[in-house]
Amino acid sequence: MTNDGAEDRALQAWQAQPTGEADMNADDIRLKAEMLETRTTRQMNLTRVAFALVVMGNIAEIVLEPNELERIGRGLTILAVVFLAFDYRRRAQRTAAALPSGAMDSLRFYRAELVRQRDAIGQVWWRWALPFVPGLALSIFGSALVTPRSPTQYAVLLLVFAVLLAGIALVNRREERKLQAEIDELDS
Amino acid sequence: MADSGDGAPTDDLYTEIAAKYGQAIERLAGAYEPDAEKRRDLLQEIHIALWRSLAAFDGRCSMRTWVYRVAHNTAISQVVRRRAKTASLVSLEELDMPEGTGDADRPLDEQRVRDRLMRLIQLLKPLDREVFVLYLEGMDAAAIGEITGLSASNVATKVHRIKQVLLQRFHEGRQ
Repeated sequence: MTNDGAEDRALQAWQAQPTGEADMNADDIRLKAEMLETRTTRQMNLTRVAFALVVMGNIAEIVLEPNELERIGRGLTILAVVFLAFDYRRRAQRTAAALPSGAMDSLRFYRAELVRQRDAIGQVWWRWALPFVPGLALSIFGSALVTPRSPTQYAVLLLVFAVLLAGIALVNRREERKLQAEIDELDS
Repeated sequence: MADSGDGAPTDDLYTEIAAKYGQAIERLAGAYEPDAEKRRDLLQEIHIALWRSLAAFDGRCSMRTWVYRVAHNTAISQVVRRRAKTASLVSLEELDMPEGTGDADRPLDEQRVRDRLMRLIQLLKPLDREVFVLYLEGMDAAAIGEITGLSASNVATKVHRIKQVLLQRFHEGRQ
């Protein structure tokens, strides 16, 4: 032995770990899988309800709001919510389809996971934030026409809006770069 | 395909696999998750993934390779999901665990070796962690390469580094 028994000691200690913490049989697993599916379905349903509530709130505003521009703005917001709901569903299906399998070795699987996460983060800005910009901008503009405010108030509002969007973009860009660096490391 | 539709063949296969690889899977879950409760969740997630995956098992690789791939891929998926919340992970080459872990006065018994191993492994990036765990499970370079997808030379380099780390951390006389 060239390593003074260190290797054997480590292997022995590793393999002699106490186990049996969660012995499971096929029935247990079937039950747990069903519970997991129920939980996922419940979460999906809650998300659908949340989307529906936002749409209904905006529909109510369209009905009650006399200002034409604000009503158009609300309509655009509804379109953004519908787009988001479909996108959310599509992503959930794609995630479910990408469940760990033994057909893919770990290097390929790990890379695919990093790419998936990088793409998801990279698209947050234009998928989750940008669709709401036209509706929100039109609503604010319409409201400003009816009840004009001081230029300072508009400037502050615009600044907050711009900082928020730029902040999201910057944080995501940084995270995206980190993930790309990990992908590049795997490719090298 | 391992399942004809009623679930029974998959269940039989799963039972066989759980009996054969259950302990190794449990050790693997410990390497990815130090927290006991989260470890149980991960273990459960791995078993569910394994059970679900068996219907797609086509025999193009050995069952052992399939099982380890599913288990590690499930754990890797968790590492990627939680990457923002976890501390920076290092590669085997960068691994330099400080010795000041507060247990220097205790003899290097099996439990302490195990604790040190776990601490070391949990610092590693997913693929290096996987190679380390598979090595500790007693697998040769070819088997490690098949499961991980790493080239033979890459596996050999990593195994060489693991041996160096083990020698550095666990040789006789070290406390």
